[in-house]
Amino acid sequence: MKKYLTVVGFLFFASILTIILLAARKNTFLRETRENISIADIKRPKPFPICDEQWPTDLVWHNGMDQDIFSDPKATKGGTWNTSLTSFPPNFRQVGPDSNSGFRGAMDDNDLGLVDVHPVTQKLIPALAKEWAISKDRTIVYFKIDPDAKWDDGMPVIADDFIFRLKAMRSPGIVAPWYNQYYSTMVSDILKFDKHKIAVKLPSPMADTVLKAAMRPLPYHYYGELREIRKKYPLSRAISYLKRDNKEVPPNILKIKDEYESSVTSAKEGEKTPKEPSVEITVEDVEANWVKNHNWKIQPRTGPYNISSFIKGKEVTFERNKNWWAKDKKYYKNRYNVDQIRYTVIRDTNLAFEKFKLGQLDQFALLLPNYWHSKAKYLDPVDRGYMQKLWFYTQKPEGSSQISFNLDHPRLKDKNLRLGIIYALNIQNMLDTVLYGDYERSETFHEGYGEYSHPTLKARRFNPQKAIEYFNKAGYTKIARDGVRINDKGEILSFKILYAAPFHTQRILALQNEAKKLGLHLELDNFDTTAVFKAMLNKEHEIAWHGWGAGLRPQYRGQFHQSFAHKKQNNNLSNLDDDEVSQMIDEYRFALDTPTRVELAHKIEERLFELAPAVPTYKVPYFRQGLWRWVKYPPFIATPSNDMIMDAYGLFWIDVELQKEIRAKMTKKEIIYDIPPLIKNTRYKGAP
Amino acid sequence: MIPTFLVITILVYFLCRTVPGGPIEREKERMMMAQLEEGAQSSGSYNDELDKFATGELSDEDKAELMAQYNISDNAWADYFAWLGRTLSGDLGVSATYNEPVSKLVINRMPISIFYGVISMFFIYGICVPLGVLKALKNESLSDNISSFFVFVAYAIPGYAFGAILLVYFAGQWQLFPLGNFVSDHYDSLGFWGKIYDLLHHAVLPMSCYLIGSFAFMTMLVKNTMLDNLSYDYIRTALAKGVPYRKAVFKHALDNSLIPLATHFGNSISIIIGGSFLIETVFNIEGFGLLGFNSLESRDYEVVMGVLAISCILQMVGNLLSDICVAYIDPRVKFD
Repeated sequence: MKKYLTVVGFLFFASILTIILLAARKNTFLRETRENISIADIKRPKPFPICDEQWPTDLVWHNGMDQDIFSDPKATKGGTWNTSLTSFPPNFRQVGPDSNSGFRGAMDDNDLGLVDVHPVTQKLIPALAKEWAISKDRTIVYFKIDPDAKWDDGMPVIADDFIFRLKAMRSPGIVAPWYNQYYSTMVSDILKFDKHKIAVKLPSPMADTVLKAAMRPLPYHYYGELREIRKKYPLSRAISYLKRDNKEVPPNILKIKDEYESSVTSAKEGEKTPKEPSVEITVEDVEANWVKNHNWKIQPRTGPYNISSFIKGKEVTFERNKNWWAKDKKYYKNRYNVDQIRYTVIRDTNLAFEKFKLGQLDQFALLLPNYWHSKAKYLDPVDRGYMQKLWFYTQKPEGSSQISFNLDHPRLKDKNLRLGIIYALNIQNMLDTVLYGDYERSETFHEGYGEYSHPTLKARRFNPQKAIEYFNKAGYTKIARDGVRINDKGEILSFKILYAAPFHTQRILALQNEAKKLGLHLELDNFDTTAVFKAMLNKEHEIAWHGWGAGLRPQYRGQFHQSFAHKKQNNNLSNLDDDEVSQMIDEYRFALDTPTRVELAHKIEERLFELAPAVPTYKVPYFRQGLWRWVKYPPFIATPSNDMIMDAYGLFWIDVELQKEIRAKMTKKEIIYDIPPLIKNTRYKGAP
Repeated sequence: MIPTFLVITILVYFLCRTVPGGPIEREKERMMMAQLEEGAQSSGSYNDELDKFATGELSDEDKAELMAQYNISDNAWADYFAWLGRTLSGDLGVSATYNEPVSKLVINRMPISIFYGVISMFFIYGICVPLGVLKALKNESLSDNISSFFVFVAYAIPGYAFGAILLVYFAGQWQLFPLGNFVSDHYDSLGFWGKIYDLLHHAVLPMSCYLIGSFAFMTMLVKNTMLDNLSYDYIRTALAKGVPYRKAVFKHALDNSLIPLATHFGNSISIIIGGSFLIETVFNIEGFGLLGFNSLESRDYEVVMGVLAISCILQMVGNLLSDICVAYIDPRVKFD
């Protein structure tokens, strides 16, 4: 008894001690703030040289000032927007290892490019550049940088910042092979004419020329001068890098090249070709240990917000730059209204939802049908008039959800079989039941791309007669005792369908049930995302259930070009190897004028429909969210390009007075009747 | 002890190396995904030329650079021994995702784990032992049956699921307790007593989740050993010799019933350290368990191994502590 009491007593005192020690701790959260450097202390690095070329005088200049504004003049500044993150970003870098977190977008949104795209008309509007012009051969784009443009530390945005970005993105020190490659091949050079005049050279004429050349700057004064280092590269890459840097290839490297080439040509058939040698060359590089040094540094930005403080693992706060250089510019006026944006890490979605219901978060995405139709169907704050549910149809490129057949599979090679499967997939039934009829059927692989999307093509619908007809054609004429079709060789009509997201199981089960009635067995195959992704890229799947993100224009090459077929580690998941499609894709890539490209895009879609290497499933052409009343938005609600009310366009604002009023009413549980609990806006529903 | 440590770490190290999704693969994945998402980053809007890079092939040089970044070479054994050497010299490496020393990450989270560990141990030992004794003395009575019912119901509910229920009702619906987190956001601006109140207010719900599982085990352990002891001859002898019932129970039977409990004391230390990653996720508490869980998910090997090494060592210290406790409680065991 005495010993027991001693132990319990000891634990009691240990508990008290722990509590006291925790309560005595200062700066519990280890909050870190952005360091302030005054302009006077900033050392200006050595400017880049001005190019020898002449600034052309016969250019046709565009300034994009003829578009309508898309913000609301009634917007007021102030307030804090509280939102959540599911995990804390691994670092604040935008390039380099582990920089590709979901949070990076929040920083990217605050880095302006040279031009922007109007969210309604999709025409170019000015951003950091005031005017731009394209050379006649469409390989050079000239920009006049807005002389007002400033970094948020007060330094002006100048030509050097763009050249620095190009050089930094080409440097090995950022440990980002993809960026190294991209900036070495997609941009040939940037010419500086004076502080505010640059020209971006592209390697070849391209469609959407200006957008391709419209880079973002990187603050040269902040990162400082580049250094030269010696670095080993494979021979061909080393030579291309030397050419890229306008350097001569040294004779010793030329000699190695000749030796290598002759050894390749003299290698006999069947013999292994000799390995490409590596050579050392001098390249420009960012400071040593750049990746480690810049993990948690906050760089100056040209956009309206920048990180002001953060607690690692817990929250990040962005603060509005009150002296933002563009705050009175035509297209930026009355946007970016809240003073602070606070991202708090909430790992559990249910917890975030509860916090939203208490008003600790200002909005909650209700895109998933189970939230909209079940969890958020009846919400107390909505009934009391404190909150509103919003359903807004948008018109922008849709991510492409599809089911891809692996054409390298011995049985799936047969088009009849694929068509049978496609006709046996009751996608509409899945949409109507599991997805409450919210999601829409995708007709083609690229929906929402305006004129680029095929206007009339319709995806094949569920059709039992046709399914049976095609299964019979494919040889699956008999039905075994378990109801699954079987061919003469005794092969059963059963395929594995590989997918990643566990919450898609229900959707695929709905398809499985319907298909079974026609004698097709779909076996569900699911692992964690990384493993599934790896299996798909290694083309180990039979049927893949997957989706691709959207770009500004349809992209076919990665998915359907024959140069990626039968090879591992690429995005041609169906292993489609068709000459006609590949030829059209190549033409599409290099075509310059829009009508040709549009026509080709339509033709490619038609051919893809005919070949049926994959079938498009559904699209979600809207956003849905719950909003507290104090979040205000323009009378037109949002533009067709918006992701949500609160997104990179920054059109919303917070009515601080109303916020106080509602919080007071919440404690008294008063009811307000003056707003509709639900708004469904279908202005942009359907094809444009 | 040392072989145990080696076997565990070797197993986990090689497991980590063989599961898909390591840092190099993530970079490959990134190359692959690049074509679809990079457009926005690079040039205002998009680029369809990008897909020419979407081959996912890293050159040998790129790969070597990335491997150097993550302390990985082709020889896993050499890497393991390098890791072991570093660990033994006190350097747990640098987290690949957080880019901070693992030891710092662990130390930052220690106070939270110790807080929950110590207090839950106090409650477990402070409540379960008297409850167990009471149940043993009133065996098969109504109070025994009712308490058994609740103890087993609690045992059957997983802590994290219980946490979700508590959050929805006690925090969301009735707003009696805060919605998760270790302390509130304005914690630093509070006074000393305010901080203590805040800490405890936030701790009630997660603590209940930590406790419900261990409760049944401990209570039933005490009850059963107590019942055993009460039926032994020495108790009967004591009673026959005229020792009062109270004394027979609390002095003789109780002390002996605590021996199996003492052997468990050390294991409880793993609660302190391990925490519970699921409870910590539900309540949004940045503790040791969550660190381990997140690192596993993001394949952050250095942290996985660091957390594992520390858990191993603490578990071993726990075993040692158990032995000391047994020696303290059990008069038959003596240190020479």
